[in-house]
Order: sequence, then C-alpha cells, then structure tokens
Amino acid sequence: MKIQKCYIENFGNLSNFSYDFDEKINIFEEKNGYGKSTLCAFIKVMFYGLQGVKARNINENERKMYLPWQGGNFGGYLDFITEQKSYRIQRYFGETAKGDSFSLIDLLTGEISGDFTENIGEELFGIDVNGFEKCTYYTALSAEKSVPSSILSKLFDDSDNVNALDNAIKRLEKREKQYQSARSGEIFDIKNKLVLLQNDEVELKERIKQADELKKSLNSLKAQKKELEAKLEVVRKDITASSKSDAQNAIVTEKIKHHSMLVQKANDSKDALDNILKKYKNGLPNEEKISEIASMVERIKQANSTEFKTKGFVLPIVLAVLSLVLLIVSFAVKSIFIYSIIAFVLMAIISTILFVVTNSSNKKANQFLAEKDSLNNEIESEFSSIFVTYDDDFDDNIKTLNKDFYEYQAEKKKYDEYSAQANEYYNAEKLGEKGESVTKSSSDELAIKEKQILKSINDISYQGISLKKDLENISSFEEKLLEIRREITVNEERLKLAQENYNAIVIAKELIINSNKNLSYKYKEKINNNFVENLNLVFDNCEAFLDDKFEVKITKLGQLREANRFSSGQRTAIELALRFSIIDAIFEKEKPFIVLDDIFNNLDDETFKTVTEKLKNSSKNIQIIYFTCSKSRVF
Amino acid sequence: MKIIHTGDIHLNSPLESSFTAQKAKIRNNEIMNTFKKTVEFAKDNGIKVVIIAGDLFDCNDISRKTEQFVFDVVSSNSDIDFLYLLGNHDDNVKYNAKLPDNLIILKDGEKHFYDNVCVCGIESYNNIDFAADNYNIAVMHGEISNGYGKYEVNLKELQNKNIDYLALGHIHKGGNGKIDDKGVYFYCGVLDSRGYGEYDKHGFILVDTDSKKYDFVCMSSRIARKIELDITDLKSNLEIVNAIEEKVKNIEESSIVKVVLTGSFDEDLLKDIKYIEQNFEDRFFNFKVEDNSVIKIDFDSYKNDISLKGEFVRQVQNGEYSDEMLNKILIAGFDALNNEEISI
Repeated sequence: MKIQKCYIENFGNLSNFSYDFDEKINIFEEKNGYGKSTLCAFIKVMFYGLQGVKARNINENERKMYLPWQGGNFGGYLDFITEQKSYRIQRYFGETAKGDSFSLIDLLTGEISGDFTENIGEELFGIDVNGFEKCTYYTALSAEKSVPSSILSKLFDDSDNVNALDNAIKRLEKREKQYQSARSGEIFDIKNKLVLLQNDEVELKERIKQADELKKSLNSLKAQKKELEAKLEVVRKDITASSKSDAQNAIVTEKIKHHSMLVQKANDSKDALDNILKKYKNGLPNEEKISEIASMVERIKQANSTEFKTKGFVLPIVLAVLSLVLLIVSFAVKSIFIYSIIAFVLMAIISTILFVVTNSSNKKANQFLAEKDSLNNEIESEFSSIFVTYDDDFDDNIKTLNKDFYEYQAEKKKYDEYSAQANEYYNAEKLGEKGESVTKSSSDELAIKEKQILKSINDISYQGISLKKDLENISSFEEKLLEIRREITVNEERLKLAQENYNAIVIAKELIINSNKNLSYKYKEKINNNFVENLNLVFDNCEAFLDDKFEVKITKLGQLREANRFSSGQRTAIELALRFSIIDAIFEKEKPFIVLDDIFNNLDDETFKTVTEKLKNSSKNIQIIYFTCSKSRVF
Repeated sequence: MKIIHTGDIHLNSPLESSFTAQKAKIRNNEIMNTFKKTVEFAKDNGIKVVIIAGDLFDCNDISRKTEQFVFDVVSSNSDIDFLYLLGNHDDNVKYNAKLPDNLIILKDGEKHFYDNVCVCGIESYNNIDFAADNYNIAVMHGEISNGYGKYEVNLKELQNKNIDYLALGHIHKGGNGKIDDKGVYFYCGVLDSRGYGEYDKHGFILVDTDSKKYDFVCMSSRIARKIELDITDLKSNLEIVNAIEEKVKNIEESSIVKVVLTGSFDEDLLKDIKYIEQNFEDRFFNFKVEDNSVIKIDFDSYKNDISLKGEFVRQVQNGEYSDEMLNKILIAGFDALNNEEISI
C-alpha cells in the first residue's frame, strides 16, 4: 500500500493542506509546530476514524483534540494505491459521531467503492489502530530512550515494561494463593470454618436433644423434693409435738430410766450368775450334793490326818528267826534247852502275836488306805463332773463350791427380785406404749432426722438448679443453633463465590500464558527471521539475533553484546531494523508506510549517512514518511 | 363467614445471610409478632378460622421458645380454629408440648365444617370429595403445574370438584387464578418478608365465603425492596452512588433494600461494592448491593488487536464459559494485564 496524496481541509492546526507522496521516501523538513503530529494523526484517522470519542480527556479524545482551530469543515481525504488500484478515503467529522461521514471512491472510475468499509484500516492492514500506531510510528522520543526489545513489549503487552507478562502472571498467582494454597487461603479458611460450624451444629443439636432427658430428671428431682418435704413436715410435727409434751416425756423418760436401771441390775445379777455358772459343767450342784461332797472331803481330810501305816514284819520275823535260833540253840545247847524252848516258845508266841497283830494292823491300814483312795477318787470324780477346772486342794474346791453356791443364791435372789420389779414396773407404768413413742420421737433423734432431710432437700435443690441452668442453656443453644445455621449459609455463599473467583483467576492465568505462546508462535518467529536481514540495512556485516526474551544480541569485536551496550545512535539503527521486521511480520496483507519522526538526531554524521544511504537503496517496499526539523538530518 | 388464609410464615428461620446476627434476631421477633397480630386481627374481626397453608415453621427442629410462643398465641385464642396443613419445611416437627386443641393438623381428605363452609386439606387427588351445596375450601401446599410431584398442584385434577377456594401455600409471592368456572386459587405468599427474595408487601388473604370476595390484607412490618440500576453509562463509584441515591430516596428507612447493578462497565471502572454499600447501610434496616454487571467488551474490536490483551480476549471468546464466568475471567485478565490488583 502506498499513500499517493492527502488533502486536509481542516484538521487541528492544519488547514487547506495538500501533499503528494513519493512512493518511497517522503521527507518533511519543517520547524517545530509545523503540524507533523497532526499530519500523522490525519493519515491514521483517514484509515481508522477518530479514536477515544467518548473520552473526556482531550488527549484521549481525538475529536476534541483535532477540532479545527480555525473552524470550517473538519476532515479531508487521502488517496492511496493498493494492489494496483487507487482509492480515495474521504472523511468529515461533526461535533458528534452522528455528524461523521465516510466515503471510499474508486479513483479510476470516480465511483463510490464498496471494496472497503469504514473499518478500512483493519480491513486493509489486518491490525487494529493501536497496533497500527505502535508499528508504524517511530518517534524521536522513543528513539532517545530506545531499548529495542521494549517496542515488542509495547507492541504486544501494551506497556513499556518488558516484564509486563511476568507481572501479570505474578499478580494472578498472588491472588490465586490468597484464595487457595496448600494449607491456607480464603477457601481453606472458609472450608475450615464450615467444618467447625457444622460440628458446632451437630453438637448443639445433640445437646438440645438432651433437653428431654434433662426435663425428665428435673421432674424426678421435683417429685423427690416433694416427698422429702412431706417427710420433713411430719418430722417437724413430731418435733413440735415432742416439744409440747416434754414434761410428760421427761417423766416417762425418768420412768424408762428407772425401768432401765432395774433391768440393768437384773442383768448385772444375771451376769454374775453366769460368771458363777461358767465354772461349772452342768450348773451348780445343789446343797445336798455339796454337803455330801464336803463330808467326803472331811473324811478324806481325817483320813489324811490319820496315820495308818503298815508295819513291817521285821520284828515278828526277827523274833521268829530268833525263836528258831533259840530252838536250834535249845537243841544245840541242851543246857539251856528249856530256857531256849521257853524263849523259843515265847518268841514264837510273841512273833506270832506280832505277826498277827502286824498283819491285822496292816490289813486295817490297807483297808483304810484303800478306802481313802476310793474316797479320794470318788471326790475327784465328783469334782471332775462338777467343775470345768478344779483345784487339787479339795478343801479349796469345797470352799469354792460353798462360796459359789451362796453367792449364786444371793445373786439369783437379786436377779429374780430385779426382774420381777422391772416387769411389774414396766407393766404398771405401761411403758410399752409411752416408752416406745418417746423412744422413737426423742428430740435428739428428730433433730438429726430433720437435719438429714434438710440436707437431702438441699442436695436436690442444687441438682435442680444445675439442671435448670442446663435447660436455660438449651434455650440459648437453640438461638445459637439458628445463628450457626445462618453463618453456615453465609460461609457456603462465600465459599461458592471464592471458588468461582479462584477458578476464573486460574483460567485467566492459563489463557494469558497461552496467549503469549500464541503470539510468540504467530509473530515473534517471523520477526526474528527478518531481523538480521533488516539489521544489515543499517549495519554492515553484523551478526545479530533476538533471544527468547527478545533481547537483541549483536556480535561486536567477536563477542555477543546486548543492544543497550551500544551507543544511542546505534540503538536507533537497531530499532529501525526491528521495526522493519515487525512490519514485515505483522502486516501480512498490505505493508503500510512507516513514519520516522526526527529519529536520527542522535546519530553521528557517519552513521546517519550509512543508515540513510541504506534506507534509500533499500529493497524494502515500505513507504517512508520522514520528519525532521534539522537540515543536517535531511537525506 | 370470613376466614384468614395465610401460610409460609417460616418461623424459626435463620433468615437472610446478609443480616447480622442482631438484625436476624430482631427480624425473627418481628415476624413472630406479625403472626400474633394476624391472630389479633382474627379475634378483633370475629374470625373463627385461620388456615395455615404450610410452612408455619422453617424447619422441623424448632426452638422451644418458638413453639411456646405459637402455642401461647393459639391457645389464648381458643375460639379460633387454626387449620394447619404441613408444608415441605415443617412436615415432621417434633413438639415438646402437647398441641393446643385448636391447632388442628389437616389430614388428607379430612373435612372440617363450619356451617356451610367445608375446609379440607388435600394431599391426594383421590380424596377430593366436596358436596356441591357447601362453600368448599381445599388447602394445598405446592405450585401450580402440570406435574404430579409432592409439591405440585395439578389444576386439571382439581377442576369440576366443587372447589370454591383453593388455599395454596409454598410460593412466597402472592398470586391467584381460576380453577374452573366455580373456583379460584390464591397463593397467600409469605406473611411477612424475611428478607431479599420476598419483596414488596406481604400479608394474608381474607376470604369472605358469603360474598366470595378475596381481599389482600397487608401485614408487612418491614418491606423488602429491589432496585435495579443499569451502570452502563456510569464511569465511577461516585456516579453509581449518586444514581442509587436517586433511586432510593423515597424508600422508607425501615426497609430492607437490595440494589442490583446491571448493564456493562468499562474495564477501567474499578467498582468498589463495599464503598457503595457503606453509603447506605446506616440509612436502611439492611442494605445490600448485588453486582450483576458485566465488563464491557466488544469482541469484534479485538479481532485484529495484535497485543497480548487482544489475543487473551480472543482466547476467552473461543472458550465455552458461562456469562458469569466469562465476565470474571475478563476482569481478572484485564486487571492483570493492566498491572492492577486483581479485583475479583
């Protein structure tokens, strides 16, 4: 595409301006304020129409910005040739879009052409106005702060920041993490909160269910309390009754005491009797028996005091022997025979008498001893059958028997008397009725009972208070449950929203990454491919390439160097080459013009000459519109 | 005779999630009071029958406080019969105390006569058996439809069955129509609004069986209002606030107000919903902004946009996303590419 002519009737500060364009290089050497920006804008507006028409800012609103200073018809026309056909775009603008007009005229026929519409810019170049501007306009300002790769950022990322893509991804990732990371983030927090709330809900429901049980327990306690209170009333009545008849009770009590005393005495006697009796196997023997045994003991005593010894037969034997001897002697000694015989006879008689007497005495002694033994045994036998344990001394035993007998009699008498007295007294005073009731309702016992009942009532009251509190809590639990349900709903809504937002952010990130890849695939490869060729337009024999980040790398003095290591003039040339590459890559249909707005100011004369010579001789079929305000920079 | 037809009171409801706990409590008490006032109306006007067409309670496990309140109100008006049809929310309430004698659960097909007026709860179409010479009221809880679901009311099945009045519950907005030449149906709607979704005035239907007049009696203690605002031409939060101000200036301060933003907005409008709400939240009982606006996007204008943004827009356009998701993706993407904080 080549611009052939433009006519500006009124546009900004330009009025009745006309220019015939060369198909290759068009140089405008004009002072500042000439209106070159206005001319550039006019060319763009012819293809794309006015931009930012709704913006309030004049710098964004081209309708306001280029309103003719001098008034008059706002607009003009532009002639161009594409695919060997010449057209005229004619646009005029009103105060509002309603007043705008567009026409496309076939310059050959002079007829209105329908080959393109009002969107002729996009239709012709296949690129929107922003891209068009970025690609085709190379101004002095951008040349001064030229960082070659930044034009690509500007072109694709719409920013001066080469890291615009990275920043975009970082922002999305940051927000993504705020929503959800491994163990934190809003979604994680909400889910946790929901779990807690749902647990609270379950717990509260359970506790509310317990209300029935609590009520039953409370009713049971109430019944128990009622029962105890009834008992307490009875006890208190008894206390009252007992306090009224204290005097009577005192008398009765005294009588009871007396009776108790009698009973106690009888019991003491009984104990004494028992103490006596426990010595005896079969109870105390009667008096007769004791006498009998006592007399036996007396006899044995007497027997023991009588010495009944058995004598020995020594004397009789000796006498007998002597008598024999005498006999013998008598026979032996005849002289004394008579005498011996008489002695013998006397001795024999004496011996015999002695023998008989001794024998008889011994018999008596033996019989006495036997009788004594027998008596002894009998006494022993008696004592053994009477006593549990008995003394060896019979006398002592008899003494004990006698003593016990008399004591027993005495105690028995006492016992009988006391028992009889106690019974008589008991019956006489009718202690069976009075005594029992007083015994049962004695003040002390009643007081104790009252205390016990009161304690029980107190305990039940405390339990009741606690249960009532729990029941009251259940009321508050029910309110809390309602609140928790509301919170659950709130958090479920928050969760849904958070998840939707998170998903949208994740998708947006993926799409941006994919978009960058697509652009890389679509444009950057082509730009890279054309860059070296275009660089040779401005540099001789240099090796250069664009890396993945679109940083320009040029070999200089055998080393690969980044473009920003070069002088500003050299960078300008590099950027120019890059721009040609961009135009080659992006404008697939029609190659537009390129506007160079005083970009060579920072080139030294030699570089300027080299670059501009190359431009002039370039085989590139890109129409150049060059503005400068310096003669030295005209080529 | 006159009969009150009410229903969908939803006592013991957790209420609107945008209410604070305190406001929810206040509103619950107000709705309970509205029920009490309805009964007082019946008493003051000699009305002997109150029909509750379902959902007296919002759930089956109601609080003791609520149960006690309802029972007290009912039992202290023992000369009024409360004919209560169970709804889908309160079909199995476990009561702690015995039901008052005059709170009568309507059983399917069981008729209740008041002179020549017959009231019958209907769950099965087979149990419809009304005599022609009575004024017959059928009570159902469901929505008019062609289906036969549990909470669907098939009008065809009710036609020519001598029904003079079909007392319906379930739909929270009032409405009415004809059953056949003889009978009409009415949705009583909720008795008092619980919040957003139950807009404008609510109350009960006063049925006059003699004159066959059916009057709506408003019982709203608070009215919920929904305002739609198209923000397409608005450029800032302040403009949105001003536009809302214009729309709500005549709304009572006791109201529950929701403003729904619609239309589209430019990507450089950074909406701050919290800021907008803060301008009005002290003025009304409750104020909420719902943002249904979508980012303004002319997909055609991005067709030849060689920038990353252009490619991103084309990718979004080619994806299969719901309108809501597409809007969110665009907002997130634009915020990111504009190097702004992500606003969603």
